[in-house]
Amino acid sequence: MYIQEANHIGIHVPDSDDLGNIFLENKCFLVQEPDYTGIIPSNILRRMGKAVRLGMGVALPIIQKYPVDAIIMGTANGGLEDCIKFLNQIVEFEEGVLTPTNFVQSTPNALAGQLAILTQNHCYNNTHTNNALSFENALIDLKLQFEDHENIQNAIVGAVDEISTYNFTIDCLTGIFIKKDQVAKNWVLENYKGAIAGEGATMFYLTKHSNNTSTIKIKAISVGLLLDEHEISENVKELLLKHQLSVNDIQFISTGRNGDERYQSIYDQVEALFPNAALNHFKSKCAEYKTATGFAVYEAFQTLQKQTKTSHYLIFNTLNQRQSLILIEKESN
Amino acid sequence: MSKSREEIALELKQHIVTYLNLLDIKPEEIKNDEPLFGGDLGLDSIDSVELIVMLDREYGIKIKNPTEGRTILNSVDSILDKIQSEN
Repeated sequence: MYIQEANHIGIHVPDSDDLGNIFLENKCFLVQEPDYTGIIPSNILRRMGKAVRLGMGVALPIIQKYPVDAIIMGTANGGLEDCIKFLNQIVEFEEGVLTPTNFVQSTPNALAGQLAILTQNHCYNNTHTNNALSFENALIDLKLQFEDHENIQNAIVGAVDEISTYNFTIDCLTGIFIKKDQVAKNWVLENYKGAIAGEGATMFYLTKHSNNTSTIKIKAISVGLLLDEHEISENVKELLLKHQLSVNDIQFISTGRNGDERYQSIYDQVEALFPNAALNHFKSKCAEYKTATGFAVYEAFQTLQKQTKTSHYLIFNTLNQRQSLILIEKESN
Repeated sequence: MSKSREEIALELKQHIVTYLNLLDIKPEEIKNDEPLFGGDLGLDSIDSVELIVMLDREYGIKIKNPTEGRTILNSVDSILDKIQSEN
């Protein structure tokens, strides 16, 4: 799968110790949404929740430029804010008359559906909602589509998740996120009792074959569940071996450290496998959300575009007892 | 003291803007005799259901007959007629 183009709307982390009023007020990193004028028609925009707006904002500039044979999204929660509004209405109005907009927008596949309707694209359309592996499963889906269907030669694949008041509160109670008044500049290395929450949307245009404009490909995706530290290390080695690579062939390692003390030893162990690779902590720029690996691939694409010789970029992430590895390769020019 | 037709009209327009989340339109910009559907507002069938829900919740008016609904939802004036006839 070759990455031809990538687009991202995400949080802005100030490059200083002062994280600004946005963080102090909300205790999490919220996206500063762009002006969608000229991207999303206003009569459609008015019905959209944040997740759908973000997804459309990154997808439409791509989908309007290229032929698309498949639309595949990964989102853990979809438009959860609208979903909660809809559920609250059921209670408030005692299962009486309900407004349709919140219902229409509340399903996780609202984004993929809206993209298809707006562009009149009736191709393969799927949305994966598998917690912290949603984006990875979307990529695996496309890999299978490329292998099984000759008519699918290109696709748009996305990773989108929003923070809603409801899920932020619930996820803080369950210990996934933590509310802090202030965090250290290198907060991903801290030992907090939870992660600092963020949100974002990333979209990729992927093709089955290479062309003249891109030689950057997603070479392998590996997902795991309930693995211990030893099994994770073995998985990394197995993945490399399967592709005739050694740890010394990996020039860039990007891990999902998120400041949560429960994951630090796992990341320590994986990072220690690559003493010679350039180390990146992608969540220091996107914070924690369940499809944050979309941003990690976006960063990898940006980094590998600058390389002139064959390079390998490995992304490792773990959250909620789920683990993933994404291996990206830049072929020499 | 009961509200004047103008006061009810402004309140109704505020509800329309809120329920339909009309981003670029202020309540006072909606003309009383302007067709709500097929005109500049760009409303569609989902909006008609939103308006039916709004009338139920805000004014206790239940529209069950589609033919009657089409007439009532024609414009702000026609909705005002229905609201005033119910009170």
